Amino acid sequence: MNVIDLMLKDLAQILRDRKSLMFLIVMPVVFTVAMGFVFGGYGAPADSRVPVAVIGDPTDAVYTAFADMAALSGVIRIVSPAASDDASLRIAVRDGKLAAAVRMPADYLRTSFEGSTPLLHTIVDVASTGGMTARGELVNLSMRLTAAAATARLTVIVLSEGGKPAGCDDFKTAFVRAAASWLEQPDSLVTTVSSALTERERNAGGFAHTSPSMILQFSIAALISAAGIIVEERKSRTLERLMTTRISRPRILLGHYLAVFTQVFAQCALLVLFGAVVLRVQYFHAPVATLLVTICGSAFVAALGLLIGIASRSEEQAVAFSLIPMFLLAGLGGAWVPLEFAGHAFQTIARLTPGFWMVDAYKGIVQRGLGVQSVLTPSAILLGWALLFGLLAVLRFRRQTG
Amino acid sequence: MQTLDIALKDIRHQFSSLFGLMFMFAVPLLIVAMFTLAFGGTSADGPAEFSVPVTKTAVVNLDTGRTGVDLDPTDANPTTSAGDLLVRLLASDEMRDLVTLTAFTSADAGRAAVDSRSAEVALIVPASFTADVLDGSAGNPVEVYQDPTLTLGPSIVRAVVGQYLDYYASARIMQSTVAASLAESAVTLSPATMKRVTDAYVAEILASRSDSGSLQSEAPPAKQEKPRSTMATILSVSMAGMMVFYVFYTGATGAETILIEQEQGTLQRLFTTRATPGTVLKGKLLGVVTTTVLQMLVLILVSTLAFKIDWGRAGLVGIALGATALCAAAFGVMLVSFMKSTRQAGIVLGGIVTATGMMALMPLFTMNSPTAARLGSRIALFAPQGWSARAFTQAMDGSSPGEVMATAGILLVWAVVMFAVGRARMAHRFA
Repeated sequence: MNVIDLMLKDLAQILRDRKSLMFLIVMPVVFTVAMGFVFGGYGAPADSRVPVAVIGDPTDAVYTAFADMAALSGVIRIVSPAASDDASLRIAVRDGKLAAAVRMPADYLRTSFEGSTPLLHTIVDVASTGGMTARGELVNLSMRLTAAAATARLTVIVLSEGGKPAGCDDFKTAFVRAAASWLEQPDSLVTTVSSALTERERNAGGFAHTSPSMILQFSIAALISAAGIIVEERKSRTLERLMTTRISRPRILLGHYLAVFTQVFAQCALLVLFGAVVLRVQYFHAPVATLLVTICGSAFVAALGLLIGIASRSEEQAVAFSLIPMFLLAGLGGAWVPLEFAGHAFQTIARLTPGFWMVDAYKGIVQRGLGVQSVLTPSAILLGWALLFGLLAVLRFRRQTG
Repeated sequence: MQTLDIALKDIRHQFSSLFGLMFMFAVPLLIVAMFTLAFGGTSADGPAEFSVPVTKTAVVNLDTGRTGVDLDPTDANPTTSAGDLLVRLLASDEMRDLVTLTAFTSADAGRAAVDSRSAEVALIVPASFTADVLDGSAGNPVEVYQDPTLTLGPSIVRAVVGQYLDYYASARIMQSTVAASLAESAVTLSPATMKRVTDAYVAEILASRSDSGSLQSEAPPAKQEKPRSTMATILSVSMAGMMVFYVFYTGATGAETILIEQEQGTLQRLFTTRATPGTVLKGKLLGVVTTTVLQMLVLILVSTLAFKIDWGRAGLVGIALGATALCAAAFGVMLVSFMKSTRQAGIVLGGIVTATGMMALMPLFTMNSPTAARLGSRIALFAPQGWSARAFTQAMDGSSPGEVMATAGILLVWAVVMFAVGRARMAHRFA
């Protein structure tokens, strides 16, 4: 029995158990699609602005000014709530139907005219990301309103100093004029990106983040099946029988490793293909780079799988030993929450892990539009991790087999 | 009595395995610790504030200013430009925790820093910036050049620059509004008077600038009783999600003892006694329920002490805990009823627990995106773990007993249905 025979035996076992296909293909595809859908997938230009209710008298100048400014916002969108009483608005905000609700005071102009700054009563849950986002924009809009009121007050003062007695009507006229001017300000800020791809290509409808992330996560999760075969071989004493043949220990390990590598590579390749063809993720923008990352990523995951299979005493342990690195490496690799939201210490630790380099290399291709040059370092690091896990597996196997 | 004996044997089995204990207690706590490290850490008084990562910004100030205009007469530079003031703002102590600046002399060099990933954002201030902001002309806009994989850092830089531009816009609007009103009323003012009132306006605007603008914020009702920081919310959601994930895994592995006993032949021996399949199933269920209850109690206690997580009122947590334990046990019984061997169970239980558990963790994965978070919360409810996590987060949020009980009620419906399926299949198998 040679290495290839052993590899084919393992692969036949994996393929015979159709349930393992659930891990290999069905679950990653379902989760890639589901996560992409959640993040606004399917190419639909989802309105990512958070919903905010502005309550007030639509004929009131302040309400109109505020609503007009909010309508131009790229952060919030004005919605009409089902009910506008405070109790209903509080429930709507609590349940996440509204990111925030603002009530425009009926006496805003009068209070401003008298020299005070009226407060805008706002119901917002700042512990939620939607609430935090809405609040930031509402603060900006409220400051524009305050500036318009200050301008109106100044106008009244200037007119009075110039000998023309001015009152509330002049204040209102100046306020409306100042508020309207905010709508006519030139766009003085432009955003450009560091990518060779168009916006549509690099977002791929939300899948450009979820596809590489799910490839990492489920290639590790699928080790349950591959590691389980190694465990079963030991439990059923097939390994002992194998040791009585002429095949050497390193060749036994190599046979298992090649089987796990083939499984992981086939899984990753299928998921890349699915991402590229069905979800339009730009893996084929740099096919050689994609292939290199897939090979090196598979080498690392397969070495981890070999170690798990050898270190596990039972199928139950193989499941647990697969799930723990799945959570740790996927979490640290930024598969769930992009690492830009994490602190400096966490990002530093994450950069030491192979999951980060695998996801980052894929993102370099599909989002930054980079080529082979960009994946050389990540690929070398992934191979380094493959060597480390492989070495640990060899040492563990030596101890087990005396 | 036999039911109790079976349950006690299973509980002993679960708690005598060091590996099992690690998976039940250490791993979920470890992963929450990872989230704590990721988003800010804890302090003695509770979870620390969510710390926004510092954005590495390459700044390219090409602003040549305007002849004769010094926007800050108090400094040594006789021609301070709007670009200089913007860079000074970004380099100020207030911004130190948000951005770190590296200056470049050309736009290409700034962009190259982003391309090489030594910076996350390049802020390129055009040569005509001072003239543009003073005149309100469209001119050349300020450019924010960013890495396409990032959203948070660039949005912070954009927000700061946006507020800075608003400051100039408000001054321009003031000038044009006052000028129009004076013209309409045919009033003229001396330059000295105009300067005095303008200075008063600027002072008023500067004084009115604050982090909260003119908003008077109120938290929604359930959270009003227990106001929480973003960091506390992240930790609470992740701890509830992780606990539920591993409790359902315990439920599945606990029920797997049916298969283990069947393969070892002890189950068949048990049936030679007076024990009926119903008694065995009840014993197994009791064992799993007790194990998961103990697991949750320990995790709640340790996370309260270690991460300062406030789980809410004991009664409501108890309702969520009880319903979760029953549901996790029923989930395990149902899954195992479809399995023929431990080999098969290893893969399938792992797969289904991971898939359904991940669905329940959707609210955690989508926390950084307001629109995705709502959809993520809905998808989570397609799995029993989603309802369980919801019951715990409702208790943490201070929701009313009625709301927690309604969620627990739905969990119990899941439990009854799953147990009925599992029981029917077991009865058929052992008939």
